[in-house]
Amino acid sequence: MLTEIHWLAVVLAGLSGFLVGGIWYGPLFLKPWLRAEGKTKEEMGGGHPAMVFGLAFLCNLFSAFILDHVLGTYGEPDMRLTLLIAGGIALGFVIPAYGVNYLFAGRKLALFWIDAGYWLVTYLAMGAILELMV
Amino acid sequence: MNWLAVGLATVAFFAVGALWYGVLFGKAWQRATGLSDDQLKTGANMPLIFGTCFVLEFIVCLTVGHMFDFLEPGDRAKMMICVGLALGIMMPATGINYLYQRKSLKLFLIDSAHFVVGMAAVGGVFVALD
Repeated sequence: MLTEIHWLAVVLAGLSGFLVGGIWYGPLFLKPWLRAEGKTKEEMGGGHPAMVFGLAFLCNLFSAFILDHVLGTYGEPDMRLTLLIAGGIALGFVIPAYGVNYLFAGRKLALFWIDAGYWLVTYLAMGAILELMV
Repeated sequence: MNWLAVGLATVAFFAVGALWYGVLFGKAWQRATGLSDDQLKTGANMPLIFGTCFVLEFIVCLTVGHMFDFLEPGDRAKMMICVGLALGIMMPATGINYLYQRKSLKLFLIDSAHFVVGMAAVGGVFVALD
């Protein structure tokens, strides 16, 4: 089913996910996140920053684009339903999916929780922006 | 909620994972994670890992079942939604996590393609049983 694409809202929602990432993996949880990875800030700095953050932003944008489409298939959900859908996507699809990967790769539980928080906050922020602007 | 479909979809997802990381890409995956045989074995409680994996995939299938209950899609839409969830939600999320962790492109491709095939299997079970 095709739904109307709300380009400006999608860009702002994608941007919100990117900004939440900057705060989440910066001032808020950089230290515990590095500890969970068992690496120093220098060791973590591999790859060209423009490449890493550019691709991450594209992923944020694409997630927002798809969330806009998902919300469209539900008609015009109000704020409460929008947040339930967006939060449900984070809790029901995103977190268990990468959880399986982390599990088998033996990554630390702390890493799982830090990333889980990021995804829940990001999806709620994206949902709120899409609801307010659509 | 179609509980039989949710249960069997979980089994299908799990089976795809076993095939994917066992027979098909086990070696490539281990190389991409950079983990040695010893690192993978020491301290790894395999029954707990497989059990938790099953629970997490059950949560995914439960959420799919809930979504289908609400949207009541046709067969074609069911497949598109499941594959779309893998491509549009799980894949970019994995991408962001791995970019920040500086994981290799190869690991990203192995793990995210697993979601696409696994979710296609989930969709197939819901189409067959709903």
